[in-house]
Amino acid sequence: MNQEVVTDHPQRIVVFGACGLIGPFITPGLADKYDLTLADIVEHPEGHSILPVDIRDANAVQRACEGQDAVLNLCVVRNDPVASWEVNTRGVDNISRAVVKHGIKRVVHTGPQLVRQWFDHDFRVDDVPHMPGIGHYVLTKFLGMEISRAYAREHGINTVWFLFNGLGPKPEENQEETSHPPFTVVWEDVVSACKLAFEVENLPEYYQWFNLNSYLEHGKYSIEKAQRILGFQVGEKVEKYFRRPVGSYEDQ
Amino acid sequence: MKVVITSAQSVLANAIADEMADEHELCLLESEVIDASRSTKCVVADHLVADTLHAAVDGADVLVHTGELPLTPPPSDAGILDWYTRGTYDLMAAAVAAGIRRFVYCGTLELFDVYPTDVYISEMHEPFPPSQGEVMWRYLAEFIIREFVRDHAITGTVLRLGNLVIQDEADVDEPDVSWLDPRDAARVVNMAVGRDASQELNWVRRWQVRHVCANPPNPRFLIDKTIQDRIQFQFSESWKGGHR
Repeated sequence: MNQEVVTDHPQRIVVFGACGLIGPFITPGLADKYDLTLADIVEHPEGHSILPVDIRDANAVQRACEGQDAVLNLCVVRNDPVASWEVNTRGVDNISRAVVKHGIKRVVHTGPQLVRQWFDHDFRVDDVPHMPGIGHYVLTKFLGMEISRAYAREHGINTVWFLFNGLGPKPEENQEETSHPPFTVVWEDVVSACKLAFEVENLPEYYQWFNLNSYLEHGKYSIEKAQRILGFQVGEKVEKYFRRPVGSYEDQ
Repeated sequence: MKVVITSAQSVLANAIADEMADEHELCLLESEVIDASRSTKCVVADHLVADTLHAAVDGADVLVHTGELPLTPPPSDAGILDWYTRGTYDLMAAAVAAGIRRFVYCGTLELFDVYPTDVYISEMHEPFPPSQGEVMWRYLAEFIIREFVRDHAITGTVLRLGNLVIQDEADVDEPDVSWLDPRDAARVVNMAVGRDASQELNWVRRWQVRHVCANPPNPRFLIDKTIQDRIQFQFSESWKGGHR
């Protein structure tokens, strides 16, 4: 493939699914760099202005993408046997068509990890073939990935998928008698990864997916690919919040 | 065996039914009532209405999903995408729940259209479907069936078929290296129906992808020998002019 470098850096980004389980936690961190349009079918939990868009509605998605430089797709329906297909698979097709129509060259999608079902007994798991299984949530997202990959290839759209298992805030204090969660990313790291994805110029084949994980101490799920291609690094080493007190009993 | 055939009114499904009628008990699945001149069971079902699928697959041993659109296809691209994805999922779910263990799905060799014409194409080559249209959506159904095969003790065979043309109706001036007579496609489907690897613990053995087309003098698609042996229509007249 003769691949052109995508050099434009986005200013305006439309965020689909901005009021869900991820959007409200990461959009404040993106807003310092980008002009965000928050789109969703529900109200924002903090009352921010929202562009009402259902990504099942191709025309609404087209209108929402007009004048935008990039798209962040945070939409998901997990296990509804009909809506999961409409949002997770067809919704990606709707976004992709709109992106092509408006000449947008950068898209970031989010989805579920696609490896734990088969690789939980292995270590250093990163860039392995995806095995989504037949759960509606994961399979429909996986098919959305395949659709976006074809658009990326055909139209030279830098398309990144961030794949999550657990997401959440950093611990605020030390957690005793427990280890850190597997394959879990903290909000600050999601923000920094999104910024890198919106700026990356050489994305192999215009399409890549990355597992995101802030807790690397287990050595089980690796982020080597995100480090290598995006230059992603975790911020604070959050494993430090999971430490047992050591020293003599007298000291304690 | 009791064999369910989808989109029964399509050219491909008709050829498959003709090929199998003497050997198997057929159940023809279509979106509306069809002329059932042959002694087969016909069921009206919509792949997008899961509840209608159970009657079609009940008691069957094999599901042949032709990958062809039904007589009354969904009216929009979005509907057709849903039909190939959610429709295939619901069909597979109903069939697995009904105890069917063998699945044959008909995909398309158009997945390889972007490769240069001097490349020999085998099942080892990565498919590159276009972003929009039936080739892509038909390909997505392959993934769905593969995941069912991975998760259940069932056998799944994908036959990526060439351009379906009845030999006598082929345009001899513009031969196509992927031509395949529907009657030959049906013979290969019938062969695939006989494959049962459902007891294999390793899912890789339960899943199989095969390319199917005629064997022209200078083939682009490298076809498995067992399949080549089933091909009777080689479109020989079309290749006499020295086309390459």
